[in-house]
Amino acid sequence: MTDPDRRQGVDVDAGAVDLAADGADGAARLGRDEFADWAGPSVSAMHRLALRLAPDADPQDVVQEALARAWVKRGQYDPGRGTATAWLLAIVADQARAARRRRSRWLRLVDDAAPVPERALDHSDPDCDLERAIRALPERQRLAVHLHYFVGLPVDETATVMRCSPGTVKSTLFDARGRLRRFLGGDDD
Amino acid sequence: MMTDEHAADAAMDAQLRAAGQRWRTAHDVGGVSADDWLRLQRRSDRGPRSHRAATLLSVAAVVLVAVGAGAWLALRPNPVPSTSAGAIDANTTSSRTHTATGTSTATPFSVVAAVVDRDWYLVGATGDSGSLDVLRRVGIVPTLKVRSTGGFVATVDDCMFYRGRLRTSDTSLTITSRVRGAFPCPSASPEKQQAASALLRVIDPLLTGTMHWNISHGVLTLSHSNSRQVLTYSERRSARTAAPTT
Repeated sequence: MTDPDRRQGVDVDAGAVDLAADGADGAARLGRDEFADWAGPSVSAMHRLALRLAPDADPQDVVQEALARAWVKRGQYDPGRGTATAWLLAIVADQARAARRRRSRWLRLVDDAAPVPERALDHSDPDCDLERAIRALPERQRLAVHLHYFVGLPVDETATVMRCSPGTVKSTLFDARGRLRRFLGGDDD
Repeated sequence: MMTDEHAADAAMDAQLRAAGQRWRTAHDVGGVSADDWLRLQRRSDRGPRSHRAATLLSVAAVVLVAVGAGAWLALRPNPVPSTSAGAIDANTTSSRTHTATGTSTATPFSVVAAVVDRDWYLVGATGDSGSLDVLRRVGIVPTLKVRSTGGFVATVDDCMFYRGRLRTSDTSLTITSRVRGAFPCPSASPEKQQAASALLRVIDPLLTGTMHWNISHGVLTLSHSNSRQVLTYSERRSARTAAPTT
């Protein structure tokens, strides 16, 4: 049987995260308490990114799935390649993407749940137009904007999360700002 | 003009920074901490190896105590019948029997802890007239997975599934926010599609609402109080029990 979870390369549910699977991983140096101490300072940023990237999913679910992933893969973390926060946020970004994909798949499949539209924007929000414009950005630009401006990561950490160079992040942000200006009508080009 | 372009870009940058700051202030999230998450996991991710190790240790300890008690009784000048060995045997027996029922749980995550983070394979469903066997013959074993946060997914085949959340009480499990994937895989053979659809129809009234649960000897049984219908899942993929066909 092809497990649909594995087939999709993501977990349909966090139940598919096999925490026992890390048992043979001798590189897993962090114990539970150390892992909690290590990941704890990043949890707020993880929540923020989950809120930004998957506003229609339960951000706690996304964070929990990301933490479960991080726990299983903790032996793979390389401090030389970025901070713990950046590594954890990259996992959140993956989980949020998977959550969005699952949601769209389910909405196509279900027959006993009415389609749920994308969460409505808060029109009392002074940044309502900006939020709408951000939603219209291409995925990479949107991710860069979320990470840099809303989660508050510096460019180099944003680059680590996006698995690209800081220069690429800068140009992606530049392109995103240009597109936002056009969306918002502030650019006559 | 380049200067205008830079000025407009700087203005946009400032606008985004200000919006980001406002958003962070408005979403000063606390949420679940890594500590919270780990505390939940501690209750649920005791793997089979640690469970086996604990069982072996407890059995070894009981054997040692029993041997010691036996030797002490044999060497006593005036031995008398003792009940201590019987008590130990009784304890041993109960510790080897892994039984958990809905009536014995008091905390929300105790139910989940018993079933979480492992695959449960469907071995029987009341009312199934052979669809499960057909699916198993072609290598499809419907599964149930529960995660530590209470979410669950139950598959029938690659494309038909249920997911939702399990709300727990002292005596029962209640499925909420249920979502169903009700269409068989288009690429599946007609026989497979037919069997999967038939099994889905059987499971549908069972895997819904409030159920009682029981785990004994690696078999998870879900049942409704107002009917005799049950779903039986095993920890072992190859297990197959006689399916109740009432």
